[in-house]
Amino acid sequence: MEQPYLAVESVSKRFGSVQALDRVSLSCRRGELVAVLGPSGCGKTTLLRIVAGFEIPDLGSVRLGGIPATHLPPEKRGVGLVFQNYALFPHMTVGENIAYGLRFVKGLKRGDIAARVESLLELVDLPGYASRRPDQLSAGQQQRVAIARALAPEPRLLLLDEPLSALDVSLREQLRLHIRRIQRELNLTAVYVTHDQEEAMSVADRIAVMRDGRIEQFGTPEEVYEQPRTAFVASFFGRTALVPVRLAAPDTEFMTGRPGPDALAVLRAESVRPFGPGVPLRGRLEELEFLGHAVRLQLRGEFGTVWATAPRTEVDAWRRRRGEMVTVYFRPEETPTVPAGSHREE
Amino acid sequence: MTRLWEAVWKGQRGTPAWAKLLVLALPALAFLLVLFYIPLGRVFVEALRKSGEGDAAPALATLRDPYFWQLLRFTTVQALYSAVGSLIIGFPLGYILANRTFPGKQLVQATTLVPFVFPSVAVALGFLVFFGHNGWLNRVLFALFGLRVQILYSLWGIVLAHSFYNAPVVARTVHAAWSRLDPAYEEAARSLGAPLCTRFRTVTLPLIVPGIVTGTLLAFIFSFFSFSIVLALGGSRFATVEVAIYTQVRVLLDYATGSALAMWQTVSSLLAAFLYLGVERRFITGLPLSRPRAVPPLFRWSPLNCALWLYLALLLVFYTGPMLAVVIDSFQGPDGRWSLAAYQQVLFGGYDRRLTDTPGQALRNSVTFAAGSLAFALPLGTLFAYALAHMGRAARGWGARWLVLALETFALAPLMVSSVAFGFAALRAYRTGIMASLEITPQLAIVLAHGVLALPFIVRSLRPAFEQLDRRYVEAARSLGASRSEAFFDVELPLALAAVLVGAALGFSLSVTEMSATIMLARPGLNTLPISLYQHLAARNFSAASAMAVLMVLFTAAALVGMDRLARRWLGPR
Ligand SMILES: Nc1ncnc2c1ncn2[C@@H]1O[C@H](COP(=O)(O)OP(=O)(O)O)[C@@H](O)[C@H]1O
Ligand SMILES: [Mg+2]
Repeated sequence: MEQPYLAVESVSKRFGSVQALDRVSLSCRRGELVAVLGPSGCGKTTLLRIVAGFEIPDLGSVRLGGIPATHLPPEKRGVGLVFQNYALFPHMTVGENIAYGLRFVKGLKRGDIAARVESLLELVDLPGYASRRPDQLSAGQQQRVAIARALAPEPRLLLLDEPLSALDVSLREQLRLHIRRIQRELNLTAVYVTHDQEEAMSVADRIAVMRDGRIEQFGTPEEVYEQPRTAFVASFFGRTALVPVRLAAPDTEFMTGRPGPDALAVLRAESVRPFGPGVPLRGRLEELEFLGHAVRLQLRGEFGTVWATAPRTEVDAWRRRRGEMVTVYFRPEETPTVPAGSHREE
Repeated sequence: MTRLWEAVWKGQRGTPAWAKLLVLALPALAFLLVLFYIPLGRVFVEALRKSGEGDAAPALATLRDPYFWQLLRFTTVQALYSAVGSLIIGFPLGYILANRTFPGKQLVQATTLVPFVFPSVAVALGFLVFFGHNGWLNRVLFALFGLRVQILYSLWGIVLAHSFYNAPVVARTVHAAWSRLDPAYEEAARSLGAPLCTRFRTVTLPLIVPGIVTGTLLAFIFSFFSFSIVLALGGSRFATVEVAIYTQVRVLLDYATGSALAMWQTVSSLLAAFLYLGVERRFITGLPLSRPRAVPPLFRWSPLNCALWLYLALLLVFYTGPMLAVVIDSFQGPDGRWSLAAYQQVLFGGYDRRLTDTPGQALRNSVTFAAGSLAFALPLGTLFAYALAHMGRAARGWGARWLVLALETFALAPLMVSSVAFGFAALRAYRTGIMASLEITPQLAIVLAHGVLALPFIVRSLRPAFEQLDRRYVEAARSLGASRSEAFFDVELPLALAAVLVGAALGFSLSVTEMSATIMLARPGLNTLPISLYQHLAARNFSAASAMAVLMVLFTAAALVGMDRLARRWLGPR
């Protein structure tokens, strides 16, 4: 198998009493985009800063292209970094910002630099913006300039720290596709940090789900979605209920609500339906939300709270049944389970 | 038109109407108009009025006088050198304060407040005792190498003292700019491959330039308008415009030349004020840092850290030397032995009563003047700062912005206008013309003058507090049923209380350390602590002056610590 370009091996970092990273391992192959996903404060930025060289890990190592890089200073790593709030130099124009990293590339002529700046601006859909000042741009435009600036010296690895978190939803969806397109076009190796599960799923080849300084699961988007290994990972994606079940005979005997459960069934709203076949769950219809394309039901029973999805056409019927006892069904064969021990009361 | 009407009378978006704000600003404006602008205006009139047929007006005659140009040249040149000196001494300190931790940092940081609370005449005394002909430095040099250096009574002595006095100002502004610099910029440059020196030159330096420029400009302005240090260290040969005004008026009694100089000095100080405010406004603040700056310990070994240690050590000698010299000098008798004679002399008489007041009297005067001036300036300044803050917030369009800037300049001018010129103006105004009929006593004159000078300090420390106050607090209070003024007293004022106290402390120390305007207005029986000190110093009685300085600093420090205690008790643990 091909050697990964970036290899983070068992890295730990502590700030005073906070264990920001606890034996984190991560790898990223050439041309691959790895998303690091986790709630705020779980250590994503710290991990990125260690890869970029701004922090030295207490333990563990970082390798770039097979070469040990743990103690290499940032300016020698050839790692591009897109900051959370962009950090565009406020005293330089857009063009000067992008050209900044080219000053340190040997053998570039003035004309080459100008041409390269213009082609980068085209790449990020901002042709002709070179003479603007950063504060004259919208947040979305600044974001794209930040990407162009990081790409200018042709880094072998691009790091993005929540690049879209300051933007509004529709722009976020548009720009993440844009970033993905650029990454594919240039065959970039990239680590993309985000706290938005949908964003991670949409851009990444592989996702590392982090929690409290640890990586809980590292796999393709399908894997982390369909085969979550822990309750935390399972509940990170979508509206999900974790229901204790006993795995007496797999597929046939999902017995809910009994003491001493073996496992937690991962019941995502979209795979629980108000009709069979499947394992029935009976509870009181507490709330319902009309989502446009469907109706989401919230039930409360002895198993806890569960969400189910009904067709949009039935919204009136369900509204009338609010407060009544209803039955919903899930199919054991398409329901992942996670070990009960991984459950944590929030 | 209706929008203008609404802005003026009804107020918009939760800000009070301009008309109401102007009413709040009015008392301070009137106070300054009567006690500051009209007196200065009269000086202008005197300076521009021909005394007789064929004579030129004094202000114009002065322009033809080579003495004036020489004076101006010396004033400017020494201020330029002093500004550069302050930058050289202060910049590394600003760097260290923003980028390193070390034991005693708090103390060093606190001492950068020295220029604001320390009377400059005491600095002059320290320099005389430390660098003087028989000073400590020369005694050490003579003992070691058998030579003496002549530093004082020269341009360089003045420049050195000004640099000593103003370097902390530069350190403060550089420190502030540096700690407001988001480390992400330097990190971005680093990740793009920039080596240390390039990074500093292309990213760090341009972004902290506002701090460097404001600090150096302040140092230049303070040195340009410095009075006591030049008076004490200039000897008979070196004088700045400030000192020349004093000499003309109080020694030579030439009021015509005095008013001409005072007029030009006022013009240049207003220019300086405008320049400073223009530069200061370019400070872009408010953006929170994406992460706090790393402040590694200074103890870690690196060539830069070693250089910084060396620098700090030199700074320690440079700063504690003169101060220590003063303390030790105050305990030495004329024969060089330890003695309390100096204290006996200043405390219990044995001095010439015609020369100066007793310390008790001087202390009493200082306290009275400070308390009296705060009683005026604090309420006036608070209301004015409040009005200015709200106007600044609501200002849209250049007309409104210019009005705010003009009001601000109007109130801040006393900070920048030469104090000697102002003291002279007050002296003339209170004795002649309409105001003579008010029969302002000399005591009241000094109190009012200190009030005028303290007002801008109070406005400056309070305005940002009111400006930064989240207006949602007020909106919350009002939505809960408080009236606008109740919201002010229940919410805004308590939240700005810390700044009010800072303003009060600044005003207090200004009044206690002020010498240039006071010396123009003072007369026997009304001398303050710094004037008493200067009179001992002028009489070449260094021990007595030193004893006086020690007492004065102890008093000022005790008063400021007391105010700090009080503030902490009021504000509670935060
Ligand atoms: N320089 C630092 N000093 C002290 N604590 C830090 C520092 N950097 C990060 N932390 C702490 O480490 C934890 C992880 O932070 P971070 O990596 O920024 O999380 P994320 O990017 O996932 O939100 C947080 O608890 C944070 O407070
Ligand atoms: Mg982060």
